Formats: sequence, structure tokens, C-alpha cells
Amino acid sequence: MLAATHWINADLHDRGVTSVDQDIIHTYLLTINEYRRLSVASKNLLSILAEIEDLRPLHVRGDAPHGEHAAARADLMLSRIRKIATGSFCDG
Amino acid sequence: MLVSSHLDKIHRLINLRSRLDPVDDFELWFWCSMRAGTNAINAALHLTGITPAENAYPSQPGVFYELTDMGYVPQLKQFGDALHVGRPPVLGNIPDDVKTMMELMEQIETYRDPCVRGDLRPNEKIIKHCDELFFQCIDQFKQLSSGH
Repeated sequence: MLAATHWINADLHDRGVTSVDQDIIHTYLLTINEYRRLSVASKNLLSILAEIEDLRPLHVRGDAPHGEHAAARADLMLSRIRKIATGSFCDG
Repeated sequence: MLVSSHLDKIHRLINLRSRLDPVDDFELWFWCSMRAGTNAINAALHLTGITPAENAYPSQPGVFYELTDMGYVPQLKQFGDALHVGRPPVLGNIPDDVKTMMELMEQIETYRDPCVRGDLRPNEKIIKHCDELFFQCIDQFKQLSSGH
């Protein structure tokens, strides 16, 4: 989740959508207005991040079964976020 | 969660933490410390009767996922496991030893924004401080839980 959030913040800063002192912390801490604005700018990145965040109640804070499936899902979504985010900027 | 589940998470997180390098893997090492400590506090609050030990998992303050016939469903609920110390604030007559644990975790969490979300590189002094605070919290929990 944190790695994905950093990827998204780097991408949004690089494209000038947010300033470097406006990091997203969690999608649910954004105002509705800002979530909608960033969703337009961020090519589904926020919805994918929200899906990772939504795994936490059951599998990080809770002990629901099939945590390994949740981990695999989170890993897949992190990869998607990384691919989308790095498609729009060069790293060094 | 039930106390037994909190204990399981504490043990697994401490085990994982011990395999991480606090310099090279600081974010993960710190996260393990934070989550293990928060689990210890939630377990302590259950053991001292301040919050309920139950199969309900916090999503955000005031919302918990509970197992129903339709699977895990979010429900409005006032009391239960805290997400972080102070989130939400715990009401009730909190015993001094649990308050001590909460104060120790609050100190650890002051490093989260600058060192995990921000770009302050955690130096040896910060790592040592986090480590000391963490084990003080866990030792406090061990003393408390041995009496329950």
C-alpha cells in the first residue's frame, strides 16, 4: 500500500497534478472533490490503490481467512500501479 | 479481534521484524513495530475490559467489518479495536499500564510521517529510539498479560 501510494504521488507530482507538499496519504482522506479531480488525472490509479487499502480491515487488522489470496491480489495491484505510474515519467 | 488473534499477529510481526534490517528495510521494520505495538494495545484494552474482544475488524473510526451470513459486512459500531493510538480515542478508565503502552506507541508514531511517508532518512539515533520504545511497550504488555 505504501509503495503504491509513493508511486502515485511521484506520478502526480511529475505531471504537475499535485505539488510535492500535497502527498496523498490514503484515498479515503481525500475530499470527494479532490478524489474526483485526481481520478480524472490518474488513469484509474486511485481506484486500484483503494482496492489495496480495502484489503486491510479483514487481513491486516483482522484475521479473516485466505490472507495469501489477499497478498497475491495486493501484489498484482501494486504491479499495475507501478506500470501505469512509470509509463508517464522517467526515473533518472 | 479476539485476544488470541492479537497475540498471533504480535508474534508473527515480531518474528518478521527480527528478520528485517532496520536501516535497509526501515519502512517495513517500522511498520512491523507499529502494528505489533497497536495489536498489543488492543489486546491490553480487551484484557482490562475497556474494549470488547470480538470478531470485528476496524475499517475507519465507527465502522467495523463483522462476519454475517452474507460474509464480512461493514457495520456502524462505536467501540472496538483502535486503528492507531487515538484513532479513535478510547473512552473509559484506562489502567495506568495500558496508558503507558499508548504513550510509548504515540512516541513511535511521531517518526511515521517524516521517516516513512517523508524523506527524512532515519539515522542510528532514531532507529535506536524506535527500538527501545517498541520493546518497552511489548515488555509492558507481557507484564500486563501475565496477570490476566
